Amino acid sequence: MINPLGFVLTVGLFKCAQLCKNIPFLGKLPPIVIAGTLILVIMKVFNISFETYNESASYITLMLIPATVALGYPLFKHYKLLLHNKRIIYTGFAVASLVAVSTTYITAKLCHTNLGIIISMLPKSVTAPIAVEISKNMGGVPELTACIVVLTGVFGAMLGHKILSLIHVKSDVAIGLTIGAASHVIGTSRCAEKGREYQVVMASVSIVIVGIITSVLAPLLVHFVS
Amino acid sequence: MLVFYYASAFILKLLHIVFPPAILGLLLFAIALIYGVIKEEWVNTASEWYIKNLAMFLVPFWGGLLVYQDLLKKNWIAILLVIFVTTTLTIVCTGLFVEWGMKFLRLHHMRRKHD
Repeated sequence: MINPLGFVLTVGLFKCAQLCKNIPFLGKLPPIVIAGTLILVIMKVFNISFETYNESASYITLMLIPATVALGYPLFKHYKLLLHNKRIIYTGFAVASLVAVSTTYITAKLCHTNLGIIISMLPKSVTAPIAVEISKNMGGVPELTACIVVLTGVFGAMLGHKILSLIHVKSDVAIGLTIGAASHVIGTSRCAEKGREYQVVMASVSIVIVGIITSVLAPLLVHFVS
Repeated sequence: MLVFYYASAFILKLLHIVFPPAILGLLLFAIALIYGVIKEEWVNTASEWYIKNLAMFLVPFWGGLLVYQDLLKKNWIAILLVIFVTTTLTIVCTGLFVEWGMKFLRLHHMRRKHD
């Protein structure tokens, strides 16, 4: 009989965090930040080891594989859009991925962080399940990746639209693509809040495509540099 | 439906060692949908459920941070700095590239029509 503590704690706290949507300050944070932090605090206070927690919580992590595959569904739903204005969009995806990966590598290197952390940070602009897969594959720390990805998303969601209007990027295609590429699902939800349907569609396609490109690009970069 | 996801993930695990299996599974899934191998009605509720609860599946990773707390304590300034700088750069570069690129193409198109 496995200890159900981790499972109950995770699902319960996550559902609670989802209910926080209408509370002024907490509602701005994505539920994963609230639930994740609470779990860390609880584990610290009651002195629960990660092994005890993960005994049953690891089953939740297992669901990440089918969830990643399920991302193919929005790709299918909007693939006609990809065929429409293709040239610029495709290069846009490639540019986004390239800039994200290379600047991450350079800044991380400048900060003198060690290789393990750099690798964990490389896929940070990509949606979390894909990023975790990439990080695992390259020998990074998936836990760290998950955390950094979410922080990137929160940052992009808070400032993405402001930065874009500051540099006079106005078309929905450009905004959606950029937000999706730089701050994945969390940023995209901000587009949805603004009620820009086209931005959301563009962003959700962008999330998946940039994820796929990065999964090829990031290992290549690491291979060449080291 | 569940069986399908696990099967595709599993087959890919057997076939591909270097590439993340779930991402190839994603691509195959989309291709299968586009070519009508799988009907949309079979999978839409499950897919939407997975995507809606995606964040929940990641919560245990945050719990896992407990194991790496020393690593975090040493590097948190660097990590935040990297996130801040690179996300801004990515947004600026991509945004400008696509915006200008679209303008350029439209101009190009119009000029060609004019000739």
